[in-house]
Amino acid sequence: MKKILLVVDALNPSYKSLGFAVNIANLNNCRLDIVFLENFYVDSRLVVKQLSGMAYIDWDIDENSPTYKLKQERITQNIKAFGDACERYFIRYDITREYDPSASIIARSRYADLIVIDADMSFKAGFDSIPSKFVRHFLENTECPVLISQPDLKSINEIVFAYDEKESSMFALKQFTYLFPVLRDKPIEVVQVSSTWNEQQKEGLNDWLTRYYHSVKYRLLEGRPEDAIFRHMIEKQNAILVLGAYGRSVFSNFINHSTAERIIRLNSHPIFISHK
Amino acid sequence: MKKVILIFEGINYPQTAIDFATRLNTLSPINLTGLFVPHFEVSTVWSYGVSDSAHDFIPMVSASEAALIHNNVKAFSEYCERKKIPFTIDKEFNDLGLNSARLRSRFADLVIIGSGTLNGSDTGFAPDDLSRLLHQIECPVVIIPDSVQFPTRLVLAYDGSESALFAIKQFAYLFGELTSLPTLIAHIGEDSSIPGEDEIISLAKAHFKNFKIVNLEFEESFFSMWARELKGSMVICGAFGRSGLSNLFRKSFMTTILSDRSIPVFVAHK
Repeated sequence: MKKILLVVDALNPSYKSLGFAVNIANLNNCRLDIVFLENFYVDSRLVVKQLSGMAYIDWDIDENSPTYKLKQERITQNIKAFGDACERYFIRYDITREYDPSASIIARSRYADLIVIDADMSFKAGFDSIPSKFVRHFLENTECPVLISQPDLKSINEIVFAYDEKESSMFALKQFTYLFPVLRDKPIEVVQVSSTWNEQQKEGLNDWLTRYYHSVKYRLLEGRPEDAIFRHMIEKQNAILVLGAYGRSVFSNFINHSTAERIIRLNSHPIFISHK
Repeated sequence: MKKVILIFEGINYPQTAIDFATRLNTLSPINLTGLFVPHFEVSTVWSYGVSDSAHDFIPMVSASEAALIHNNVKAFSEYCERKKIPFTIDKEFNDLGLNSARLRSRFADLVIIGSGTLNGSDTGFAPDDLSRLLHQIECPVVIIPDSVQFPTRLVLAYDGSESALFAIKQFAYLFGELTSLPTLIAHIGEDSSIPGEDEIISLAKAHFKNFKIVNLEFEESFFSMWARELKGSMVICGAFGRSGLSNLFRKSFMTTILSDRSIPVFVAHK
């Protein structure tokens, strides 16, 4: 059994993402831990408090503010509705709330096997990019693999593994394989942006892959990595992309970084990202 | 089918480690690669952070050693055939020693090292050297001392750190068949309370069927002594990262366990 977390925005939880995460949890026959993230600090303001009969001003949540009350009411309703939806899916679940989105979810990732998240989840007012600044920061700091959801996905019929001859990408593939044994009967395609294969590495990779997967294909792609993999994925349907290194050190991994971001922006496929 | 590499260094023949692999195969089929590498001086081969193949020292193999190694290859092949373990032989005498083991480990699920393997079983290995070697290998490693039994109990060394959790998760993925063994989550650290207690319980419930948490209120140097008293235990622990200088605490802990050489240890590092 695995510990899978679905992270949602407490004010606008995505039911499509819930459906996606339920499918992922069902693949592993495990429960789903749903984390409602709310930005506690955005509601902080100067509040008059009392201590031993003395009034003083402090920076805190104004629990008497109508806006705050309305927000809390809406979150409570959302949690109940999400719980009801889980009952309809017949999935075992647990819902918890976290108030410091960035820090709390990174801390929770240490104790999770996989986190499912939407690419556009944001706690910023106004326009944000895709992936959002919040998701980018999370991807760089998470301590477990992340699955960027693709709510319209009907099924996973193919695995595309982007290999770049680095330790991190192989690590991502291993994590994916260990976490999704049920997908080992799907065809897997190894793509590399290069003019030639490193034969020694290809031999080792093939030796490992054929112990887990029945159908393995290899394909070299031409061009800049971010363009080539992006173009390649557009041709695919119902495929999942496995990528290593959405790096902590962005500069050393900028290729995968930008590749991931372009594909995330397209949001046409779920992406499994893991870094070592 | 898991791909497992068993390292034979020089003329050593780590029978206990081979027995361990055999038991793994009965639990879940493995493909066992015997990687025969030349005897080497670890401290001259591995720099602290990054290995530099230019400094690899591949000693000449004498005729008598070559004969012994040839016998080891033969004995290992015959043993695997007898036990019906799918196996391959990989002889690295013309390659760059254990530097090539690093790339091979990338495409393996697990590496097994007999603890008598490094620097010869007569003198034992230098724990610092083994620690450095572990950090070059790109997959989890099990270190099997001579004359230990197959584990009947798991001890998860837990201090709330990322590396400890990483090792626990990797162990659960690779050794699902062993997760029904009695398991102790042993908190080691200076805190009197257990960090992330609710979270580790929640994760352990997902992976381990029979576990308890204990808070060890003694110094980490006593840990291996404590674990040794638990008959049949295997320790699961994380290791300090490749940039080791900031993790001296972890390093000393690892060194203590590895020095003991009486407990099988599963090590995984990020």
